[in-house]
Amino acid sequence: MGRLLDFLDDRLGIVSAWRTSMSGKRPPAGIGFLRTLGFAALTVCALQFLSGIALAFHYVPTAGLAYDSIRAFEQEVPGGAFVRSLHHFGASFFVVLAVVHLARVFFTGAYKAPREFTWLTGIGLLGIVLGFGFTGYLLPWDQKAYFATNVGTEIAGRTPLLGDALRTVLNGGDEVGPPTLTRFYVIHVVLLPIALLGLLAVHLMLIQRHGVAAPGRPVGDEGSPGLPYFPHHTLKEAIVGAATAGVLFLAAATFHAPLEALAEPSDAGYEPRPDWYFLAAFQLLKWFKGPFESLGTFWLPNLFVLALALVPFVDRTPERHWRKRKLATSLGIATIVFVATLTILGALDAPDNQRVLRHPLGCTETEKLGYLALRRARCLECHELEYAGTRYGTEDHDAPRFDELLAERYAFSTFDAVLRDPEGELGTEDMPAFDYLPDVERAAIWAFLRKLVPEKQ
Amino acid sequence: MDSNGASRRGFLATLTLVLAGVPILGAIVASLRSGLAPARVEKPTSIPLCHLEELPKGDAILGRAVTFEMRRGPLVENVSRMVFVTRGESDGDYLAMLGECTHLRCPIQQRTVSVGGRDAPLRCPCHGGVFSRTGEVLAGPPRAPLRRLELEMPTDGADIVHVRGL
Repeated sequence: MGRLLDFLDDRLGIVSAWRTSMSGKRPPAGIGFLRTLGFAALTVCALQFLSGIALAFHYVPTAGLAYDSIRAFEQEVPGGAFVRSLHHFGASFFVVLAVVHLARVFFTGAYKAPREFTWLTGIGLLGIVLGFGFTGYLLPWDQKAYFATNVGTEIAGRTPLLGDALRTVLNGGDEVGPPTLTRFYVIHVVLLPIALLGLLAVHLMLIQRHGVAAPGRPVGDEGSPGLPYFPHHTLKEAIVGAATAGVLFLAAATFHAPLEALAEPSDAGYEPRPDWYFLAAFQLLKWFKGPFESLGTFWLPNLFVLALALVPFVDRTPERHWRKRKLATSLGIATIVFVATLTILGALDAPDNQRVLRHPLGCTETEKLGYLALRRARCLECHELEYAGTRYGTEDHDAPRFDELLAERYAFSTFDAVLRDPEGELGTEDMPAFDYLPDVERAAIWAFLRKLVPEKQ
Repeated sequence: MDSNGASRRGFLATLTLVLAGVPILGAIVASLRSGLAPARVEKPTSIPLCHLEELPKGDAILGRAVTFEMRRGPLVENVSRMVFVTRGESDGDYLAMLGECTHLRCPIQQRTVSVGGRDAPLRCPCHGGVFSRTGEVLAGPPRAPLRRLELEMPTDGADIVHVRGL
C-alpha cells in the first residue's frame, strides 16, 4: 500500500498535494460554520451539473419540441419530474448560497488584501450563476419563458452603443423566436459551464494560495493556526454540504417545478413575471420612466455590480471586524434592506393569470396547430371546456361547452359551417364568424378538439 | 556567424508566427462572423387581418391574433402576433398597432385603467405602461407610442383587410 502510494506520488504528486492543502494545512483558529457557505454553493453547483446533464440527454432544443420534450421527461422518464424539480430549485439554492457566501465575505472583511482577486472572481461567478438562471428559464418554451426572455433581451438591447448588436446576437434576429431558443441553449449548456469552471478554478486556486482570513483580525495579522483543515474543517463543510443537499432533495421531492402553457406570442392576457431573484430588478424598472428609463435598465444595475467589484480596491482600511467598519457594515445592511424591499414589492405585484388549457402529450403537428389556433382565436373566452377533470374558460357565456358539444354526434362539416357562418347556421349574432381563419386552421382546431374529446363509437 | 544565426532564428520565429497566426486568426474571425450573424428572417409583407365589417365601431377596439409563416432560409415556422385596431380621427380612418409594449416588449392588454381620472383602454401588465386608443403613452415607463402598422383596405369588392409592417 505504502509502495503504491509512493509510486503514485512520484508520478502524480497527489499525496504531497493532499498534505499541503488538506491534512497539513492549518487554517486560523476560530473559523466555524460561517466559512462553509462557499462549499455549500459548490455542492449545489455539482448537483446542477448532474441534473442538468440528465435533462440535456432528453431535451430537444427546438421551438417545436422543447416544451413537449420537457413534459415527456417528467411524465415518461423514471425520476424525470424529480430531476427537473431538483434542477429548478437547485438554481434558486445556488443563487441564495452564492449571495449569502458573498455577504459573509463582505461582513467579515475577508475580501481585503491579499484576497482582492478572490472577491473579484466571486463577483464574476455570481454573474454567471444569474446568467444560468436567465438563460435556463427560456428553455422549457412556456409562457413565462417566452415573455420573460422578451424583457431580458430587450434590457440587454438598452446597453449604450452595443445594445442593438447585443440584442440581435442574443435573439438571433430582431425579436425573440425559435433562433433565440437555440442560442440560449448553447449559452446555457456550453458557454456558461466553460466560464463557470474556468473562473471557479481560479477562485479555488486563490483560496488555496491565500487560505482563510483570520476572523476579526486586521489585514496582515493571520492569527494563530488552528486545527488541521482535514479532517476538522472538512467535517464542518461535509455537514453543511450534506444538509444543503438534503434540504434541496426534500424541496424537489415535495414541490414540483412549475411549467406553464406552451408559449403563444399573441396571448394578450398573459402577465409576465421573472423568477424571484430578478424581482428586485423588475420592480426597479417600474420607477424609471420616459427619459430616465435607461437608469433602471442599464445604469443602476451595472453601477451596482461595478461598485460591488470595486469594494476591495476602494475599502483600503486594514480592519476586518464588522464593528470597526461602521461605514462598510451600514452600507452592506442598507443594500440588503433595499434589495429585499424591492424584491418584496415586486412579489406583491402578483400577476393575474388565468388557467390556460395545455395540449396533451402526443399531439400530431395538426393537433398542435389546432391547439394554438384555438388559443389565438380565443375560443375559450366564450366556450367552456372540461378536460382531464379541469374546467377551462369562463362561465359568463351561454355558448355551448366544447366537451358536451363533441360528446354528441357532431360532424366536422357542421362545425366548419358554424365557424364560417354562425349567423346563417345558428340564427344568432352572439358568435363571431371565424371564416377569416385559413381552412387548415379550422380543420386543425377540429382535430385538436377531437383529440381531447374522441368521437363516441 | 553569431549575428547570422540570430537572424536565421529570428526569421524562423517570424515565419512560424505567420504560418500559425494566419489560420488561427482566420478560424477566429470566421467563427465569430458566422456565429454572430443574425438569422436571416423573411416575413410576408401583407398578412390577412379581418373582414371589413369587423373593423371597430365607435370606441371599440379590435384585438386580433394574426399568424404568418416566418422563413429562416429553408426553415419555415408558424409565428403569431397580437394586433389592435381602433378608429382614427375621421370616418373610415383606422389605426392598427402591434400589441407589444414599447418599453420592454410585454404583451399589451385590452383592459381599462384610470389615469388621472380618465379611462385608458390599453395597458402593459409588467412595469405599468398605459396607452391611449391611438397608442400614445399616458403613463408608465414607455417612451414611444405603440408601433403603428399599416392597414391595407380591400379593393374591387373583396372584403379582407390586410396588415403590413409586422
